[in-house]
Amino acid sequence: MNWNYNRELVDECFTKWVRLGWAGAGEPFEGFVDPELLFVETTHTGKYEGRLLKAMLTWIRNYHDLINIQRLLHIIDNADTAVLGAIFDIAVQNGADPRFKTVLKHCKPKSTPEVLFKTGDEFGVYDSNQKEFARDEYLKWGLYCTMVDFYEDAMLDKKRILKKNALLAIRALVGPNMRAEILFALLNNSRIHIKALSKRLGYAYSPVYKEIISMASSGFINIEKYGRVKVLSLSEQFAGYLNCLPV
Amino acid sequence: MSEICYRMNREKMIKVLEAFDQELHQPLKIAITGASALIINGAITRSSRDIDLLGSSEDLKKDPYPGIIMKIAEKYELNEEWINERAKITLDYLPGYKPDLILLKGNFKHLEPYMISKADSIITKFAIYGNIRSWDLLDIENTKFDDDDLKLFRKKLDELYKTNKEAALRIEIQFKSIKPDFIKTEDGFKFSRASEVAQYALKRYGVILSIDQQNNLDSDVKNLNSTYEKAIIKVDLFALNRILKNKKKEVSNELEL
Repeated sequence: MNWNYNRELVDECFTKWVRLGWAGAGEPFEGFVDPELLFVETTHTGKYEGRLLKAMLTWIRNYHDLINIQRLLHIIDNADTAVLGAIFDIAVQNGADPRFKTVLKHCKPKSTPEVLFKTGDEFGVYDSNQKEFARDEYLKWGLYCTMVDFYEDAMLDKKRILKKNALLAIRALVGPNMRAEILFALLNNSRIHIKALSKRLGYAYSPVYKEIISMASSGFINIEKYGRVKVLSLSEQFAGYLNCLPV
Repeated sequence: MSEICYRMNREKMIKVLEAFDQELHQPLKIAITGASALIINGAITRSSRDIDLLGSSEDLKKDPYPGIIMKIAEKYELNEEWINERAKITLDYLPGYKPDLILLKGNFKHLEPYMISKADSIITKFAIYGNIRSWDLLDIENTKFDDDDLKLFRKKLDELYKTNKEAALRIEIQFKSIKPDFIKTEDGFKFSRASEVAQYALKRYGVILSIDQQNNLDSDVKNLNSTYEKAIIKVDLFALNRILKNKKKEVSNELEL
């Protein structure tokens, strides 16, 4: 995917990572941050601001149990998959969930190796340095880079992250899966029909429908029929329960 | 503890150091390095989550310091390692290196906080040349250096060159690529002719640029295909490669023995 440098998007990624718990400079992003979408964005913006990729690497290693792999795979084509592959690969080597190898299967190394970080060094000295000292972890993805560092002391603990991110709190409760996405969507949209919901979440209609039926049979979700349209809402008691999150 | 803020700008760093001082009952000297030194001396305006120390007169891991550091962290909503000596590792790459220290004036009774000079900031940031962080380039790029800073930098590089040619040259080349204004003739002017580049190459490294090479360079610059600054960096890189080749030869000779 082609991506052109945009300072505003780089700055926005900064604020989004702050929202997800990185102790970077600036205020947290106002509003909901979609973690997987942020990974995708950071594979582009992080080339121009290395700290973003370092934050992402740390986050994936530390909070791998909050990542929805299925959702990431839905949008992976928008990422620079060589960068995504390198970061997930390094995270797995440093303790993240080995299931991320599924993600790696969808990532492709650069056909022509390139320096990961763009610094605007017109003399090419930094690029030469990165080529000379490039780490194997990046070389296998067709990238020249030396950064395999983590923010050991600049990432909030999980409890604080969940407090700031309701979706992640729901994922922590029911798992990072489609059910968590549906519950979060319904919590923020009192009445919505299945087609609109599946479109919003980026999943196919059929699996969303099955999940809804399953949750409706458990009494978590109400389904009201208006002709051919089925409108969904959380049951009052269950909405009350979810509204207690994050604890 | 409520919400952790972590970050400190210049004012907060000084305030926190003054609070740290108030908890001390005996003298303590610290040498501040990294981005925090650049922030405190006003060279860059960003904030930082910690104050990096290159060293201190007492072991900060021993009592009473851990308790005091934690107390300040809680009071000012900082990371518990808001002051740390992780940057000490830099000195492993620069054995025997002594940075210039500038005393930070403030409301201090027991604490003597020193900052390393801007020249030392460049050297310590690029000393671990196998892992230069892209954002460190930005910090140096955003730092303003006056003539005195650059003179001191030159002097320190020359000193370092005597003991560690490779590191000195790598640091110099990296700095020049970010701050091409540093590329000047001995008289302090910009290079304006290939003959001056040739003179630089000969005098500094004993490298001869042929008349043809000089003519080609003048022509390239005239046609905007190159600059004299680029040529100087090429000369420096050539010299660096020569050092690396000699180093390899030395290693192979040792192995043969």
